[in-house]
Amino acid sequence: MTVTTKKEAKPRRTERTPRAVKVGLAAGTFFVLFAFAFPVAYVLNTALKSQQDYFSNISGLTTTFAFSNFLDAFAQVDFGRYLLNSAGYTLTAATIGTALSLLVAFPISRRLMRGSAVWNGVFVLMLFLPITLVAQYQMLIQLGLYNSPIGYGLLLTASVGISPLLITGYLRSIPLEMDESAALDGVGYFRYLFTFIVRLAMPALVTAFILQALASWNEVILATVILAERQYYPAAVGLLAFSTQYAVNWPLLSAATIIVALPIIVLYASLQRYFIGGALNGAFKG
Amino acid sequence: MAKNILGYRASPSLGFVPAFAFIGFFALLPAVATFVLSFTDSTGSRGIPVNFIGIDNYLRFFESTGSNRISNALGNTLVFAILTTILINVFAFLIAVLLNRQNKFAVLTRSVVFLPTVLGVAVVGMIWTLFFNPLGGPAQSFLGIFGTQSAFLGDQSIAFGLVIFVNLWMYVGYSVIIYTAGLQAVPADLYEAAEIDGANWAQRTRLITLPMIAPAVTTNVLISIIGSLQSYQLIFVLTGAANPATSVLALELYRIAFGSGGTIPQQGLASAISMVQFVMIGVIAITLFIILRRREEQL
Amino acid sequence: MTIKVKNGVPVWVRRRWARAAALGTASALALSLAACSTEGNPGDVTINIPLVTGSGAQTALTQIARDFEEENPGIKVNVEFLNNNGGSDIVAARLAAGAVDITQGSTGYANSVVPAEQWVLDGGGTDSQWIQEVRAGQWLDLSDEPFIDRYDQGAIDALRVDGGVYVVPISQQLSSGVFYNVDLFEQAGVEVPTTYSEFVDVVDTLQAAGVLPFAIGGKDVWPASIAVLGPMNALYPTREAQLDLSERLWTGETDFDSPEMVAVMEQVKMIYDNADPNFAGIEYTTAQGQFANGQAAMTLDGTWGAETYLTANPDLNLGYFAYPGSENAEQNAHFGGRLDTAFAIPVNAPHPNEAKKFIEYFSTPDVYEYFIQVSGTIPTQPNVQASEILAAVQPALANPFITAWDWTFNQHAEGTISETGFNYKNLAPMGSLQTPEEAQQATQEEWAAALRLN
Repeated sequence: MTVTTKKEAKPRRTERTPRAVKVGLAAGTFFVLFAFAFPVAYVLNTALKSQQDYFSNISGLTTTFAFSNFLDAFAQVDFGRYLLNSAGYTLTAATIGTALSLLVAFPISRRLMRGSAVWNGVFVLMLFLPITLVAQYQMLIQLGLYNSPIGYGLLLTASVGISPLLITGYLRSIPLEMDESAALDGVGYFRYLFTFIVRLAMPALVTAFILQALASWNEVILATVILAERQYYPAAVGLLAFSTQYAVNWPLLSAATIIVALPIIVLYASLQRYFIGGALNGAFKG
Repeated sequence: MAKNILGYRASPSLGFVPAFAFIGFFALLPAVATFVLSFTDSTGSRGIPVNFIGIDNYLRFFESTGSNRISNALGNTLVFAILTTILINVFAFLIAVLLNRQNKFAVLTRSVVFLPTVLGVAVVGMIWTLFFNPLGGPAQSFLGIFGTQSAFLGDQSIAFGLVIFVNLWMYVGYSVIIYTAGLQAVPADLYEAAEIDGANWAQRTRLITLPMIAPAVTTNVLISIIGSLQSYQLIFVLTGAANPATSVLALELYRIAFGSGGTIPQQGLASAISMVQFVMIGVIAITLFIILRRREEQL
Repeated sequence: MTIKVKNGVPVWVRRRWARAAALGTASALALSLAACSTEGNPGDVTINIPLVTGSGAQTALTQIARDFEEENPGIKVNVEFLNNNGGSDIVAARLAAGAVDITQGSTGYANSVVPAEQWVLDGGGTDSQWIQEVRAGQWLDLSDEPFIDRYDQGAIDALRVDGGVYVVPISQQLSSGVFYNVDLFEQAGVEVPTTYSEFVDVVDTLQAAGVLPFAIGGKDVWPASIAVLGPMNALYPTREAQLDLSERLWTGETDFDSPEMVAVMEQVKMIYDNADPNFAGIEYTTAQGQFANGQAAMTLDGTWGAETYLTANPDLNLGYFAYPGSENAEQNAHFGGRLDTAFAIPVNAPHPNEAKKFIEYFSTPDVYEYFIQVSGTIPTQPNVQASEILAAVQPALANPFITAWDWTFNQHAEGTISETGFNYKNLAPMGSLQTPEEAQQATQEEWAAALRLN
């Protein structure tokens, strides 16, 4: 029997797993892999076809390697700008949003403020706010922030969603003794929060960050309504706008899709441990 | 009066107040404004006056005339949420079990399964629009093998199913991760002990795995339900806001708020829809939460 | 999975912390980049022109905008082309926010640029949003602008509201005709039909020869509505006839599922049945590609499409004929159409003077001719030649055309199924209703309810 030296226990299949099961598992895994990778691969395949090639052989493997599609897509539309916009919106919103969530969650979880139970209730309420598209649109107009990336960024930042609740839950696992000893050592509140607590609550913060980043990245409708100039569009809206204009030219569209997807895939591949780790830690809110 | 364990008086509030004020202003205030707007006949058009019309908007919501697509959207929203939640959780659990091994292949597949969530709605929407191209895309070619064909997203009867499918494809990864975490947290000795006692795989799953991951199930189901009740960005990308077969409340809201093809925008009515959806989600979520928590405890 | 630990804190957390700092800086930088405009100097004025228009006009206007910018340093022109699907919603949102300098002015359907007839108001309909906004003073009156004189005064006068000129018509379109591929017709041995039975024969012959008769972009929904315009134009060949039908429908004298209405839908069904079985899932632009590349023999599209087809396939031998909806060839031999693209300036435009300057520039003979030549649309200025692109359509322009049905018949404010009075959206395969009778019955129910409500 193997002795496990790893920290976490995991269910092990018994050594005597029948061959058939092993083969079945492998086949199943391969099928799942295929189901999730094939559609993406297909788009890549299409992106490499020329228009002619596409119309004559829509589903087959590409016979040309028309990298010109990618160049054309870039020439028609400034995808670099769209991606930069998205990066800006997403990172700013997620970073500041998570910081705000921490500032708001910590006092409540430690009952440092009056009426903490009420605030906790408010956090729960924030999980399912009504869709405030119309009100947000009106609000930005009144503030003179319509068609402003700053206005859009502010709205995204404030959409913290589940984060305060998530952080509050996780903070329960950090013993109060830490607070006490820090107080005894004369550590200031903010310093304590942003050095000690941040490090200890990192899994929850990472999760909150990722959740808000994903939500911002996927946000399409508000951007369509609020932003009137192409130069402010996030990548998602830019891709959609591109698709409505060039729907005849599928290879070009596919190239555009790949252009938008590639940076994400690269980013994901390099950071995926954190993504998945972060998501894992979000599994058990208090 | 709550004890301040850190001994500081003002600092926590100093951090809390501005932060919450910001969130409150940009996220909560619009919610209140939506509530107020729901009692008006605001069109959003400049210059056309706004009046308070009481609960007229709410009455229209529940009226069922032929042109009232709100009830249709409501139905779609509920069906979408329920089907999505069930399907995502079932598939996610199965995939998590399947991939719950440490060899590189499984780990790679797990990553690939999570990829769609990260890609974003626009990319995923484009991928599947391309895939379902009725003029010979892969899906059409596949059907061609069996001698049939379909308009896919243009076919009113299956468009909704396809949208659910794509939504599933995009978001199952997240649930897989959560279930994986749950599975990995189950101590191995429990399984070993059960094996020694002679339990087979099915019994081990039912008696050990399921109860132990109950909290993960609760989390997942809640997140799925709330998410899917509000989900519309992907549907917007796949079929637009005007398709009655796939219209959900949020999309209907968007259409009504800004007018569509000549109908006058009605932001008051749209706000009312928002509020009703909010109450609905609240009720469903709280009910589910109570039920699931109780089951959790039983297990 | 092992977690390396150092000093009580996981190693990856430390690195994560540094990364977060870097991320934060990067994101702040990115956002500030996004916030800054990379074009032009501060002090430049940018005028925003969102439009929903055909591909030819897009090409022409993009170039005209650039030329204008060269001649007018300090003014930037941002012409943005939106999809017909949902574009009007976006423009409406921007108008309300005061972010638009020039746009088309009427963002709705049917009869949207003239006040509603009395019987419409009696039946509980309202003036279109456009009329309401004009009367609420939301659009600038351009009657005294010099460029107005350059346009055909008949067109200008037809669009006046309460005597004022609020919209500058820059192109027109015919929408009741049929584009066809001359080569495919020749190969199949068919001739242009002049009566409905001939039309059906042509369709059958094409099918027998293995040629797809019609290309329709049903996924975008509105392209299917054009199938209604041809039959209506032929069966109700004068404006009076169409207005008469409109009145009878609104007053309830004629039902929407009456035989004459169903007869129109029968023709729509014939067209649906002879298009790609999956046309409901095909986008408009894809369907245009189908026709241009010879995969379908005919398509029902407005004349704005001519430029798209010829650009997609310069070798296309394009033809255009009047939709023969009746058995009387003479009755069929005319066309229906309406305004295509127009300019209007909202009263809250940020830069109305620059906007007027642009329209002035656009209206000068050279620039306008360039626009008509490149866009392949029908001119609204006298003494301007339509372009080569419209060669196929030229014969149709010899005589005046009547207003097409979609701009004669008012949409009811409550109605959404059948804004043209015809349930093209729900007739299979666009929807689940199998027969024209069922389709129109649904329309009748909906309209009866709406007409009763008020």
